[in-house]
Amino acid sequence: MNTSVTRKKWDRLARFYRWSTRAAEQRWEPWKRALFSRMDSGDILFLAVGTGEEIPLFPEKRRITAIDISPRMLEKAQDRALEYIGNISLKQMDAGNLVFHSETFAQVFTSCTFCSVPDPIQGFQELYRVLKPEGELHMFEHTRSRHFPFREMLRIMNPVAARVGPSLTRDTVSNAQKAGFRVDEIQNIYLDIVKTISAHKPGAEH
Amino acid sequence: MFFQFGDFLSPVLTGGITAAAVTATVSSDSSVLLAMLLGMLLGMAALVVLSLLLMPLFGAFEVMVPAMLSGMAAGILTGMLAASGVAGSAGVIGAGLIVGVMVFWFVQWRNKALQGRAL
Repeated sequence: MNTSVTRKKWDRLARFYRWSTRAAEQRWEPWKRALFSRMDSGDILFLAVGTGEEIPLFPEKRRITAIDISPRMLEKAQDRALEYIGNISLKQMDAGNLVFHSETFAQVFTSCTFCSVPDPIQGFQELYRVLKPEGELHMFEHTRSRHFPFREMLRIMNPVAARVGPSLTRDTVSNAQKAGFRVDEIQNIYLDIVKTISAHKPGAEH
Repeated sequence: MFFQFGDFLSPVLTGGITAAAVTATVSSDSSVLLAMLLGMLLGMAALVVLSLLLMPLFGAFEVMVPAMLSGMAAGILTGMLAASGVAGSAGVIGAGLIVGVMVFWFVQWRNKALQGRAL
């Protein structure tokens, strides 16, 4: 699925997104809040901000650049961004083609992003590029399952799900590793499907 | 508590509705194999519709995953029961509901085992 198709799909979903994800956001709030509490004082990149549901969970007074592929989603996120106590800028951008200079950010955070990025390894390579050496990557993602029967169920449902929304079978941990990240921590939140993943970009070789 | 109710409702409702759809489409002289296949497809259709209805209320994967399991398992089992004629409509629907309850317990058990630090 290419970038234009992905953008159109999420533009279509923007209208109902807040309503349809309300309960999920409520259930996942404690884990997201804990993950975002790791935001520190350096420059932070956040993918994908969507309609801005997570913005109220960010610690105050951080410098955050939040991107999303969908202009319609970003329109909806404006109100939350205006309420944020700190510095946040919203930009429309494809995770696989970031316009930032290399080694710009100290930390990158993602939320349910790599289920939808058209080329996930390219997306991770871009994150790797824009992160400073020893920079941190913290993700809240849903991935494929490694366990029967969930693995099979997700495979069966994926052709339908990926058409209308996210992919259900992404191996996000492996994809991050393929791009060069060192995975430090994985925390399963629901089965082994919804999880937080923390990784870092190794420093320069000496 | 509200979300736990949703976790229970999702597989039980999917199992029950799948079984009801099976009783409406499969007769006791149908091929058992075809009835099981049809049951599975009906289960998938039921889970898509119910997931769309229940997800805004109760969550995302917590609704969808049990509904997936319940819809497919209930569809296969109730398709077999309906085609072989060993149970009437009430029995088939009851079996669908029981599958839903069993899926609820199974998913809760697996979630407890898998949740937490994995690396």
